[in-house]
Amino acid sequence: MVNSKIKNILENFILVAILLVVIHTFLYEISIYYHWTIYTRNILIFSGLVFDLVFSIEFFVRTIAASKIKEKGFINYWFYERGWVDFLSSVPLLLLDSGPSVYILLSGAVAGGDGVIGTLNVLKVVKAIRVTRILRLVRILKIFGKIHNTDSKMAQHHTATLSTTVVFTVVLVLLFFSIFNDGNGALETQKRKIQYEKFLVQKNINNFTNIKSLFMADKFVLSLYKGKKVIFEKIDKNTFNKSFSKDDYFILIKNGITLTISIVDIHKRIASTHLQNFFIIIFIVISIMVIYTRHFAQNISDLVHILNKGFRKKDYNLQIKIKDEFKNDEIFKLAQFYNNAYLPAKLRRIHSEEEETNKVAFSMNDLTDFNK
Amino acid sequence: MLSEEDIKKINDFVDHLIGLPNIKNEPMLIAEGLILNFLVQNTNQLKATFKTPQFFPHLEWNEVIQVLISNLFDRVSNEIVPVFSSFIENTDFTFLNKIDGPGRNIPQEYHQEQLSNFFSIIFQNKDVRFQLNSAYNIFKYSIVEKYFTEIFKRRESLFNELVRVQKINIECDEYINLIKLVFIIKTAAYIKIPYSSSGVNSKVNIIDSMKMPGKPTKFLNAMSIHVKSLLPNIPERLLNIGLSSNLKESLTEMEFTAARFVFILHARFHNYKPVQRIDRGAESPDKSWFAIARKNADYHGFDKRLLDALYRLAGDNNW
Repeated sequence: MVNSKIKNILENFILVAILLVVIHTFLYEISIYYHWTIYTRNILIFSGLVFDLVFSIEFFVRTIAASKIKEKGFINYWFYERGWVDFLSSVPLLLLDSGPSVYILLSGAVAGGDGVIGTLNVLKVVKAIRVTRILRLVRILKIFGKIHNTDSKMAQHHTATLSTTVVFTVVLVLLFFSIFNDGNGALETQKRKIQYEKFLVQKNINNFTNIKSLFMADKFVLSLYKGKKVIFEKIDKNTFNKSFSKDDYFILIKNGITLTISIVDIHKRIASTHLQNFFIIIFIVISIMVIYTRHFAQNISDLVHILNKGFRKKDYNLQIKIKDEFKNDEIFKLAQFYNNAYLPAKLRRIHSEEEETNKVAFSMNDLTDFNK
Repeated sequence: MLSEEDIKKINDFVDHLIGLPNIKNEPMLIAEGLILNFLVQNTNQLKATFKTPQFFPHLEWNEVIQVLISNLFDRVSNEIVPVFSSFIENTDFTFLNKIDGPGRNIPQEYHQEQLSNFFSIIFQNKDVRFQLNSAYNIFKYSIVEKYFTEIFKRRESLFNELVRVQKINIECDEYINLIKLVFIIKTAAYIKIPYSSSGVNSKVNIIDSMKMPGKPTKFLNAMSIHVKSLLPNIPERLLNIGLSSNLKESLTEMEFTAARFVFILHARFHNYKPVQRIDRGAESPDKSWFAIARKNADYHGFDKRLLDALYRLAGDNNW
């Protein structure tokens, strides 16, 4: 009793966490797209870690519980209760995305603090593996496991399998393309770096006035220094420190000229793609939940439910509605047999039984409880 | 003489029986039948059991059974009788004067008094009483009202069969009361009357007559005379419809469509339990029943044309 109460509380907690993490995933991409302040983005990075931790703990607790309850419990949980979805949407994200991000944040490399060589190397790795961020979309599937819009276990099970297959396939394809299509923006950043390096090498540095006016008009150039002298800063220092993390720009030093180049637009493009993917998956899941589950219930599980009752309950004799458009489906053929042959035969048998014998509904044993 | 405590204990025993899992969901009339069957089939064991301290050790078997049956009867009466009494007391029966053509002018009070006495007789007789369950359900759930309002509204094949072909030209409300009356009269066929068949004299009812050689219509003729003596003011045609409504289609004449109609409704509502919630994807209860009945029409002796019409009616109205 107490255990089930605790279990209910924990399950509700996880349900709330799932709903919040979906909102978090959306806000995280929005924060990049609209280039929110470092402080806000850091909060989202930290909360991402908390969510990843919660779901990783959930995965391990479920794994241990499943293994303890029965033999092959783990296999059952992993393959049939979508333990692998729980795993993919927690542990890899904790180890490859939110964990390293927070580590860098605390080391001061991302949040605008002083960088050290070691953390910069970690930063490179983190950028490389950031494509795993797409795995966050797998979490949307967890909603499916928690919100049941049908009573039928069979409908829940089959539609969950369908949604898992579809969503996971989409995520895998996205992941594949993001690896080979510069999903983390590293190639584009590198290209930009080379482009500006070439520019600085090719242009006559002595004609500085010309270069200055060119960089002033360039939307990616944030500031220009000649030696230690500030030539221009398009954003004042205070705003820059609040809005630009080390991840949002790179610095180029060539021939005594220091350029600060923004790569916010690259992040914005990636965030925009992630938002599109987020909505694609959300709508896939919603459409499966609303449209396919309904279709499955109306054409499969409702029929099976009625058949089951008709076969088992003596006084249940409601027929199944046969849809003309599906009448050649095997399940509807079975339903027609149930309507036209089974139920009439069942009622004839009941009728003849009632006619033949004097019905006795109880026995002497039913009297033993009297007056006790 | 039984003490109040004894009577209370017997009452508790009846409560216990009625509360048994296989009984508690049954209508009171069916429950009474099941309990009486149990008492008859387990008399010897019960005699011994009742003598144990848990039951009624100081009472005689006859004393217990008498009070028990009376207690059961009171419960049935309290539930069933008001439904029928209300019909008899509140219905205008002057439409009966139109059934056999003009010329009859029997006052309403005569009809009511006669029907009231007739109902008392059939209700006291347990063989007849048990057959009232379909009538009880039909009265309680206003089944005739529901169907006839629709039949008169549509004026299709059922209307033609029941009104025009039978030449019972009365209003919808009057037809509803007529069919309800037929449901009461029909149970009279279960009264045992002296009857002679193949030289053997015995007291038989419709069930017994079915097992005897010859057509049961011969028995119904004898029964008609008996019922006529109980209900002299009811048109003979109506009595014949009522009694014939116990017979399969093949045993009734074409002019008794109303009897065939009542025969079907009786079968439908004899073991009727209202469905609380229709499962998604299932047909409505009446539509399902009529569809199955169409498949079993020959077995039960139902009129297929009537079943087809009722099936359409139920389907169109989601009944």
